[in-house]
Amino acid sequence: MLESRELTKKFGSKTAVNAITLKLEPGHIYAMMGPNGSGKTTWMKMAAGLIKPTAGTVYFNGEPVSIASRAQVAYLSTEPYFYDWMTIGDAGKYYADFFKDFDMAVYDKLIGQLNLNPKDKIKSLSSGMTAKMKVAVTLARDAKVYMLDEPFNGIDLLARDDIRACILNAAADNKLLLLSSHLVEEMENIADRAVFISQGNLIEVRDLEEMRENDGKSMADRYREIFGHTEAI
Amino acid sequence: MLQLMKYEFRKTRTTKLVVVGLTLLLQIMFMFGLYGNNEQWMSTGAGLLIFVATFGVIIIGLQSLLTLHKDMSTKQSYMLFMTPNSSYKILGAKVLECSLSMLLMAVFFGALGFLDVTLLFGKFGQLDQLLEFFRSVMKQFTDQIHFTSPEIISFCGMLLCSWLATVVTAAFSDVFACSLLNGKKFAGLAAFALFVVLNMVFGWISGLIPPAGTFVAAMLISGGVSLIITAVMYFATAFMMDRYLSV
Repeated sequence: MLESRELTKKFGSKTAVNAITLKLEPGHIYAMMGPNGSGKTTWMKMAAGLIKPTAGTVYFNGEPVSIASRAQVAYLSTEPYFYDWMTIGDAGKYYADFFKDFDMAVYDKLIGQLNLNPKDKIKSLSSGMTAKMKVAVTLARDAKVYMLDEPFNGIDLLARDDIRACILNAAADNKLLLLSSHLVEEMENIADRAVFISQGNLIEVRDLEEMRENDGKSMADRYREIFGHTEAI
Repeated sequence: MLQLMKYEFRKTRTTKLVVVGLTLLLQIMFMFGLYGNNEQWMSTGAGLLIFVATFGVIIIGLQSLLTLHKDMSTKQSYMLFMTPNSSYKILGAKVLECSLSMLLMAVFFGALGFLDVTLLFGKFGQLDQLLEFFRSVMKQFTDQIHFTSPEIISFCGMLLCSWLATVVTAAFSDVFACSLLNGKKFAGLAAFALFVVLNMVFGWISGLIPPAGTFVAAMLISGGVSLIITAVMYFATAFMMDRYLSV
């Protein structure tokens, strides 16, 4: 469903993503794991069509990602990107105006579940509430691919529980979910596959159940093996 | 395209409301002075109305460009580029909204000016004098300058094309500076400098064109040059947005 071939992105002399060839299939929740600066966000942005690769291509259903594929790929950026004047309700209307797969009823339900007030200005929300709002507006789309970059960034345990429930609810056989996070244990409870990236290079893609059964290792164990003990905190 | 334009309008709505609100306040002040026989209020209101009318249109244009700059240099750009819209469409919406807003504001101020002059003459019981004044102006205009309908139409067309070229050149300058100096504080200043230089270059190019035989031909050539500049700048800007802008 989503595939990158020899995907490379350079920013000046720095190589953020180095010739990554990767195939992600529907019906799975992938955890993209790697320390800061490993290239996770850059890979996702290229897959979302937000930045152009230096070399290589990302394919969505066999076609290079394009303006048309943005209609079926939902991306949640880790950075704040909403307009200053927007309320939570305005964000829903904006998505409804531009994405045919956006369902306002689902959005209303999600913001209700996440205890958000549609009249609140996004600018004035706490980081936890902003994270919840971003998850709600992204998952209210009936997209084929969901890419959530650091959806648990800077939020408390209860908010994490809420967001995790929403993410698991969005999973389906015909959908692909890709999440990145530094919270390895948290991701272990959600994902069934892991993509390990280090310094712009793909290390491996593992089925977590298989890894547990065959190697007797959890995702956190493997993370520690690859990146060193201190990185897995 | 209309959805994009709607949000472009929304982004600059506050500035527009402030300009229109201030104009209406000054209009009330002017009318209060006019009908309350308070000469000071009337003259102050009229003076400030002329000031707001002159700078209001420019401020609205500048606000649109500042919005473009913010859209190109901050993460806010995701709001545009993650939607299934091409750079050409996004830029087109921005240029059209900016041009239309400025044109509508100019028409608004023009209509208000006409209304105020009419009220002034009406108040002092010289409405027939005003009509005579307009008649004589129009007569002088047609008698001395001999403007025909094609000439007026070609002149207006040339103005419109020239205005479009200015707006698109400003957008090009900003996107170029943002692409090259991404995140740098002086990107805005560099964009302004580039805008000035490009206008000088385009002025020089226009000067190379040999003079036309008739007024209509001159306007058509000038408008055509502006249209070519608009097209080149528009495609170059959208291409840069697509290929090089990385926020």
